[in-house]
Amino acid sequence: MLSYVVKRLLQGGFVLFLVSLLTFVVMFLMPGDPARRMVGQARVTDEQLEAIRERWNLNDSFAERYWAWISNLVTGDLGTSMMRPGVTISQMIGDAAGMTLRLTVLSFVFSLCLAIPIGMLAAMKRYSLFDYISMLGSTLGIAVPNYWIGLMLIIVFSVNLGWVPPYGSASWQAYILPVLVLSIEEMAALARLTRGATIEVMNQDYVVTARAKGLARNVIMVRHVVRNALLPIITILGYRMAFILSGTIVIETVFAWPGIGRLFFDAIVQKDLQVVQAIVLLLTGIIVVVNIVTDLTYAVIDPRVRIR
Amino acid sequence: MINSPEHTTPRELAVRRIMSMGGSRRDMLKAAAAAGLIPVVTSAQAATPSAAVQEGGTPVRGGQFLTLGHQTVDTLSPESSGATVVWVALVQLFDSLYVVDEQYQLTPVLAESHEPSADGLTYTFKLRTGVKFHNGAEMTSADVKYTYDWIMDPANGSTRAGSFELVSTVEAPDPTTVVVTLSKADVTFMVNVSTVMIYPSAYHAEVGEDAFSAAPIGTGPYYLADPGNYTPAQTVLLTAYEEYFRGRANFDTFQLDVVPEAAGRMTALESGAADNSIWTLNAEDSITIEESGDFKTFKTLNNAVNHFPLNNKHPFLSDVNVRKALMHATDRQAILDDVYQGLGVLATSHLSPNVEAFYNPNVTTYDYNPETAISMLEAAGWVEGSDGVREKDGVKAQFTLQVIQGDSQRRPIAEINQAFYSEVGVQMDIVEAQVADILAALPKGEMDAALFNWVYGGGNGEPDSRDTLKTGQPNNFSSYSNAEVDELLDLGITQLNQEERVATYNRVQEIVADEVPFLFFLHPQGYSFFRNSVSGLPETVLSSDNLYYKVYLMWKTAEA
Repeated sequence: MLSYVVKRLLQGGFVLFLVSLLTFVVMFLMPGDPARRMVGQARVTDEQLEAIRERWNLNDSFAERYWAWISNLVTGDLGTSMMRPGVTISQMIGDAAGMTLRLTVLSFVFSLCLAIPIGMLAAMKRYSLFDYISMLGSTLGIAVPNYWIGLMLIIVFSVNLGWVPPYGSASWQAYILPVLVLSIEEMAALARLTRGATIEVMNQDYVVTARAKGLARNVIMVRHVVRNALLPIITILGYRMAFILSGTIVIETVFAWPGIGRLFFDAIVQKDLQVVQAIVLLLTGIIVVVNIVTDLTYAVIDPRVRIR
Repeated sequence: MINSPEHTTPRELAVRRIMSMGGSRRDMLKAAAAAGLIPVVTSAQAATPSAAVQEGGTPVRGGQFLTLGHQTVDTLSPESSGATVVWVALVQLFDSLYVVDEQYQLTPVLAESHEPSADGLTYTFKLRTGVKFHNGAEMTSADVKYTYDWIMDPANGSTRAGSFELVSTVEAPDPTTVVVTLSKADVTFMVNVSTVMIYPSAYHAEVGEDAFSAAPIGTGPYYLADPGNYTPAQTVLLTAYEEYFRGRANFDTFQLDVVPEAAGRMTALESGAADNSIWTLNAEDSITIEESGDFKTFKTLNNAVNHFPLNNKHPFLSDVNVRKALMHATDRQAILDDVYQGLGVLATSHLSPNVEAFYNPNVTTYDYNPETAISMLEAAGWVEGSDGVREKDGVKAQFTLQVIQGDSQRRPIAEINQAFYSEVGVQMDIVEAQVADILAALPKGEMDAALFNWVYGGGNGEPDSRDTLKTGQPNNFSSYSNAEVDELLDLGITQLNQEERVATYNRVQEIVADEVPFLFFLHPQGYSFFRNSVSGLPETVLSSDNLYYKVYLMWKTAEA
């Protein structure tokens, strides 16, 4: 078990290295001069531009810059950003990631708590009115783009009704709409998946046998169905986690939420290599870890899966 | 003293009338044309002072001014690249010696007066006394000298170094006097002075530029009371500085919230959450907000011109008759109506009518007339080939237009014009490219043409356009070269006499209109909204941006 974890972590580290190198190359080749961008439309001579490039080490070669970055990283120093020199990059990312994490975790928990019971209920009461309505809802939830839902909710609940602020994160009320919007798509996908998995398990021989033995319906559900149905759901949850992270970029823009998605976008536009690099590393890291955790959880839930 | 702030010409009044008119676009255009017929007179006659407060009522203290920006406020240092949103926060925190106000008048702030020497090489500034920085330190000539020297020091890699290119020395002979010596006379120097905000020398030297950008100290009407009040991607919350030398600001707090989506800013205005939006809304939303009657609306013409820069060395485009013919082939009114919902005016050259003191409408004009275009092309020897595309001596009447990637708003202009030009036998291909690529490649003559908006002079009312029209300059996107224009542009920045300056820049506009170095289409109109409860606003403005200098004078009354 331990050796497995170590092996996976090493693999993850290699993935991180490759991703960082690739991002660095892409950002390096991306057209546009960051020095020129800093100056904006102002008048500037070539010597002055050169002074700015010198100040931010923009003249260094690819190898020099990558080496400087990676050796800083080893010491835990992500460096200073061109776009926001007043704070360290670690602090910048820490602040933004905190905001995104709050949104992500809240909507993840919210959607899990609703989607799994709905999906199971829909499976148990297949072809009932509840089943039809919940599945229609989930189709809509997946099909309708979340920025549109976001804008509509803002118009209704903040412009017309005035119940919640239209943007920002200053009060707890401000969390309601973004969490809801982020949850809708998530919930829709999860409920559908849960329903399918549950139906599949319910048709298995061991469930039929249990029922033939005269076991109570609730006991069958909890002991046999739920546990087995959760397997594919957990596999998917890991991927959904990554999906939610990317989903927040849009939602952060609609609700003016100062999260990691916004920071990422700003950094790319301003060609701030250091910040882009740090965020890519963070996001890749999360995906790698989530995947490892998913595999381990698998083993806990399904004793047949033995990790060697 | 030059650039005396108090004068209003008849034409200025006419333009302001147009800008404040609620009438239809056609009315506006007619009136603009009429205004254009009035010759430019810039006598230094006495008129009403340009102070913001023209509205009745006694200012009330208290409350908050809440505005919205679309960009992250990455820094609170004047070293910022000049993004408008950041700048609006900066002018609350800092002051400069002079500012160019919302009526394009040069107004003293930290300085009491300035005196240029007869040769225009030396400027002597007298500073105000009793001005305090937010940390209580007294502002003196040492702070001004420190700031200017810091910007000029190449080691600091300052983004504002271009402003002080011609400055050779800055002296502070006594605490209230600053003497700046230029290597060459340049009357645009005062505009540069108006953009440079003053650092507190001791504090800035102690903490350094990077730390300063997160914990700024200035002399401005508002200050950052707590570092926690500044979260770059979210909010800048500033507090009124009790000891502000022009009197404490009326609003207790100034708040700038970052809302990237235009729709988000729209709902924030509609729901009553915000008083103002620094960055514009979508055109249709602007109309809705204006019609709601809940906001005071300022409409201003952009100084930027919507245009196709053309490579003047291109085998086809280098022919001046071709460029003129393309102007006639373009139905600019259709572009204005269809793409800009009629919000703007047609351009006459590179300068916007908004730069009213220097704008010259009496230039060659180009009506939409495909027949004229065709006969001009024929006369110049461009005859129709077998494929319908004209040619001359083996050169095809063809060029490629670069559109900024993802620029869905302006791309239709390219497509409409493609059809217009094809009607007269000119083939224009459209491709997309990154904006950074376009801006880098055009001045080197590596692209034929592009589509974007750019300011060819006119910012802060200053018509200097050396940067964009002079031979070989970094932002000369059309590789334009005209010896007379080069001379005039160099002359213009040495002229202390306003009437002579006007004549110089009028001539530049004549030549540009005549030679069409680029296809100038129109100047879009910008909207700026202030909630009705915000008082202390002027009737009309030439620059709605520069109105943010006056937030400290505004106040809020109970909403009707």
